[in-house]
Amino acid sequence: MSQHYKKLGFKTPENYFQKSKNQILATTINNENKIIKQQTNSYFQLLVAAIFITSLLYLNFSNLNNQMNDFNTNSPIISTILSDKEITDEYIVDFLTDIVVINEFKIPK
Amino acid sequence: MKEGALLKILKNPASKNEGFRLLVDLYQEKIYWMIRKMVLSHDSTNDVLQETYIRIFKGIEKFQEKSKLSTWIYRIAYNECIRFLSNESKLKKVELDSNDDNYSRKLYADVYFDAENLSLKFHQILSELTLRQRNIFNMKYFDELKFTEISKITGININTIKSTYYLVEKRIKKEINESAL
Repeated sequence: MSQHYKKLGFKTPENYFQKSKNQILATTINNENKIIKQQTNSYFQLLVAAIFITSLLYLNFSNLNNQMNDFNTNSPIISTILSDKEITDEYIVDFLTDIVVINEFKIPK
Repeated sequence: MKEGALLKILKNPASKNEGFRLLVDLYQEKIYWMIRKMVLSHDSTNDVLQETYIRIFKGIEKFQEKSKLSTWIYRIAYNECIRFLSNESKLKKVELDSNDDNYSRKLYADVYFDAENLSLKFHQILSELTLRQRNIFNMKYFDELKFTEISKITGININTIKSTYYLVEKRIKKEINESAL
């Protein structure tokens, strides 16, 4: 077959086919290995990000649950619910006055 | 190595790379010369060859074995040549039934072309053929492919291929004989 190409006058650079083979393998096999490595790295990064987001969400929800459980029983509304008392303006004013007094009260050194 | 054995190696992810090395060894020169006759210059052939192997590497898992592996490889190379020629002529679709006006220019611009008397005459005749005629002639005469294979590679009807080849062969013989007188 190569005789035909000689007749056509086609030539190739020296050691062309060996160099070309190396070039082909470099752009296919070696490139794929790089892509696999990059994919492994990105999977690892995704995993770390997923763990971080999950832990953030978990902490957030557990705080929310604590806040929901730790409601203030001194609140006029809640205490009235608990004691079946009627919510009156007078009751709320009393409650707020108590809070102000407690907060403003300072023990002298 | 038989195609079936090579395919088994290629389709196994663990041995795909080794199989691909074998495939490059087996077909590199054949594909190179097939492309070279279509695109003419060595540098362009090198580019098309690279693209062809990248496509083969990416697509080998999808090869459904409806044809021979070599036919599938030649078809990819042929399509890459058509794509290259289309880009070169800035046309969306290369005209298979028209002559390549730049045939001689491309040939002489290539530093890896060594013109002799016979090759010049041969190229002169080839340059007067349409791209379709030239491809069919080259594949049969130089690449020694069967008519059925050429039909599968080019997507051209087998009867058209046969009649085109015999017509071109007759014309070449006649012109070479006349120039020898």
